[in-house]
Amino acid sequence: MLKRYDPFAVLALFAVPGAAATVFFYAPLERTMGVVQKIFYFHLGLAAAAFLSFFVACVAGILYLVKRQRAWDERGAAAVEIGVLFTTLVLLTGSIWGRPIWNTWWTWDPRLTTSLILWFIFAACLILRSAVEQEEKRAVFCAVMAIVGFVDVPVVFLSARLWRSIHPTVIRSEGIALEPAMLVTLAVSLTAMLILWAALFRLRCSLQRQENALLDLQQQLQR
Amino acid sequence: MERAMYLALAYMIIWAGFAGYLAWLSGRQRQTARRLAELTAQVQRQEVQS
Repeated sequence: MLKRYDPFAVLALFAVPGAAATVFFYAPLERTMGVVQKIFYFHLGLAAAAFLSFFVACVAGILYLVKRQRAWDERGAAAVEIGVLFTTLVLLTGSIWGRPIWNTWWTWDPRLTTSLILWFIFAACLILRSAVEQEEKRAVFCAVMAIVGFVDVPVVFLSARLWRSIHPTVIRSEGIALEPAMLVTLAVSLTAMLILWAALFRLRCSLQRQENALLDLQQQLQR
Repeated sequence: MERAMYLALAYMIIWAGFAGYLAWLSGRQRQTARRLAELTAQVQRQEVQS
């Protein structure tokens, strides 16, 4: 994988451990939550990368429906898969944070519920991709589902403001409610997660291209 | 101390998730590359014969 020296993969190798070091050794301890608050830095980074994934899947879906080029379906497939991985990690880390802070692993809070719905939508998109055999039909179905599914992303983002929620909101209309050292740590972990996202996305796209080339060859041999 | 355990658990899950996904991708890529090489050779043989 790294034999080709993908610039994002090489960057991620330094950025992710660097971000972890910043979280553990630089970020100050939050007064009320203590050490468990440090989950937040990667939790938010993972969430941002998941949102980016679904945005890319939505754009790729639109472009596939307009241009009918396989490359857009490949990008959409890669973005959905990585988005589901990141959302799974967001839900798990959020749940682990919630246990000592809210005294529960899960609560049907608007932010948590809309995030879970988002996970179900795109997990269903993955299932759909493996269930439909005909390539063009599969690409159209998945494109439509990614576009429709993306509607939930702004709902997740705004849920803590639109409804009564106990989920903390850091990004507010007045600005970001964090002290400077915490803000630096957040920026570092957010950047690291986005670099990791780019590396995984490129890797997954290249695999999808190889699998499609394999499919073409198989069809060529069957003729 | 109990809270540190939750922190450790969260980061272990993050690293395990990424490591698992990378291992799965790597295995799938190896399998696809091998199958692709086999089929390319098969197509080339067919082209030479015809």
